[in-house]
Amino acid sequence: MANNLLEINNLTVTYGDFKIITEVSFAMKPGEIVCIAGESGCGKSTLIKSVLGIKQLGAQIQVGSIILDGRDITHLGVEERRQILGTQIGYVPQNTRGSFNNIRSYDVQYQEAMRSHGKKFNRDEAVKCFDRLNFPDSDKLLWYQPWEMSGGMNQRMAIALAVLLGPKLMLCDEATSVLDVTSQKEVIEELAKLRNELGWSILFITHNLGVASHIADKLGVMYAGRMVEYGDIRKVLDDPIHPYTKKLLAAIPGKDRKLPVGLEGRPPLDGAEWPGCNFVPRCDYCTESCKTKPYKLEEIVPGHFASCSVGRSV
Amino acid sequence: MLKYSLKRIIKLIPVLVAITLMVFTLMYLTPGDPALQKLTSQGGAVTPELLAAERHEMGLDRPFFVRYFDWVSNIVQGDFGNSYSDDQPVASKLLRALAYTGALAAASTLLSVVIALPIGVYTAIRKDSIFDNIVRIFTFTGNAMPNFLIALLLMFLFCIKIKAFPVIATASLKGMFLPTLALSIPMISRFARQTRADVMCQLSEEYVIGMHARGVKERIILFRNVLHNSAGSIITIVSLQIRVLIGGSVVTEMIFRWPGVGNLMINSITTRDYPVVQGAVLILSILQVLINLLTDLSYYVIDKRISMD
Repeated sequence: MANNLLEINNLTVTYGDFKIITEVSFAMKPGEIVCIAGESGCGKSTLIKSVLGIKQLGAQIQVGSIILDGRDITHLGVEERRQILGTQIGYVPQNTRGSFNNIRSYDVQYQEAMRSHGKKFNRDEAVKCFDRLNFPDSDKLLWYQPWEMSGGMNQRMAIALAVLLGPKLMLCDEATSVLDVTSQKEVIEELAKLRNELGWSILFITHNLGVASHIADKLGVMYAGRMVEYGDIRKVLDDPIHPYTKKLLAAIPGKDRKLPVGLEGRPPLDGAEWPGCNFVPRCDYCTESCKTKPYKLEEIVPGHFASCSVGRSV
Repeated sequence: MLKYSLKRIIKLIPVLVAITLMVFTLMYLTPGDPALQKLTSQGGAVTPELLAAERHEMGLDRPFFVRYFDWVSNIVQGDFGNSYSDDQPVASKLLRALAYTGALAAASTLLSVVIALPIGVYTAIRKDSIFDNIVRIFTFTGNAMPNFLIALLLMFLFCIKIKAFPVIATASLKGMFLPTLALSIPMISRFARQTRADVMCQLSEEYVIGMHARGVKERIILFRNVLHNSAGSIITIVSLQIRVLIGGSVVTEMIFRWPGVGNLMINSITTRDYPVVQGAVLILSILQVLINLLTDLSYYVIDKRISMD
């Protein structure tokens, strides 16, 4: 897997003593967009926090490794990590006010980010970048403060700054989930465009499978701290293997004014600690052996992985 | 901003009218006769005729509003009248006392901010460290001890035990040291606690994570962003403290015999020296209002969301 940009190997992450994700493995190629979907609390944001590795976020990697472009970044020191954040790994948070200090101009904040990495900040270059991304009022934007902008515009300003810093991997943590449909579309299209033009790899966390199907090459489905299905987006959406993925897809609200088939119950909070399959309480196909069979993500068909294929023939 | 400042200064006029009226009325109603006070302080027997003549000369027998307008129109021309006790112009007395109080206020505020700010920031980023715990003990103690107790303890230590300073502060840099320290100790405690709380609050804001995620240097996050955003509430507490100091730290000035406004006021009140008290209260009120204006302007500089209307 030498040409992978990002490799997550057998990752187990805790907050203090509480295990959030276990044995998660997947890899991303350069230029690939991978969406991770799942219900709240399944550990998808923790995955992003682990890759960022900022100690204030509290995610502690207990087992496994994260390899970025051939370099093990699992346990980097604070300064070494600071140097790769921004320049090799970009980040767009869910909170649209989470990227910038609300009461200082974009201009100074762009400068500070560039200078922190020893890069020159050139206003004309920034304006060119805004133009390229079709931002309105591109020549005035830098002088605004984030509170004067909409949430969507703030996200786009964060993306524009990432363009200037030039990372290879972008981490988007529910970056569009609080935006209205128009802003959502703009941000998604921008990211797709930048992938094509700059070769960005994007790890996109979302609970919106519609967004995922629009943008992603690969889709990973997480359930209670485990990756239960992973593969080519079309294969996963058209021919889901894991019983959870099937239920998740069935639960998407349709336009036909019919209530979707609900997902009964809630995922277990300590699902990452369970010895066997943690979907058992909600699964329609489970057998006695599922409760004890250890978790393992297997390649069921080429390029399509799942931790369970019990319901496949049904 | 200039327009806003002008507007605020124009709005000051009714405030000043109210203040002058209040100051004048208060002194007018205060029991005690300045003419009698003046004559007795000069020695000799006071006959009713002499008293009446003196009252007439001092203008005390004229109607209230005549005296008020007279006083105000003189003040507008910079004439605060003469002191009853020594016939010196009030303006020069006030200026001298204000200079002393101002020097003490500036020195103690500066010292407090310079010491408290780094301590506050450091204890916030190293929360619950040994240093934080030690600082906590000191700041709680500093906050809890009344000013006069600190002043007396400092005097006991520096003037009596070590004999490094004279008991009566001379109006010099050396003399300023102990009163400055006495005023600074509780202020350092207050500022450090406030800074710590504000910085900690800001550090938990999401933009801090956002900046870390862009690899912005810790130093820049802390000093250009976190401190910038905490500055509002730090300025609030500093300006409140300055307002107290400008009014004359009466007790501290008395203990150290520092010839500031506090001292002047107390002496003038006990000798019924109306012109001095009136002038002092007026000038101090104006200063308070001006500091208030500066504080509000600084809020706007920090955070443009604050409306200027």
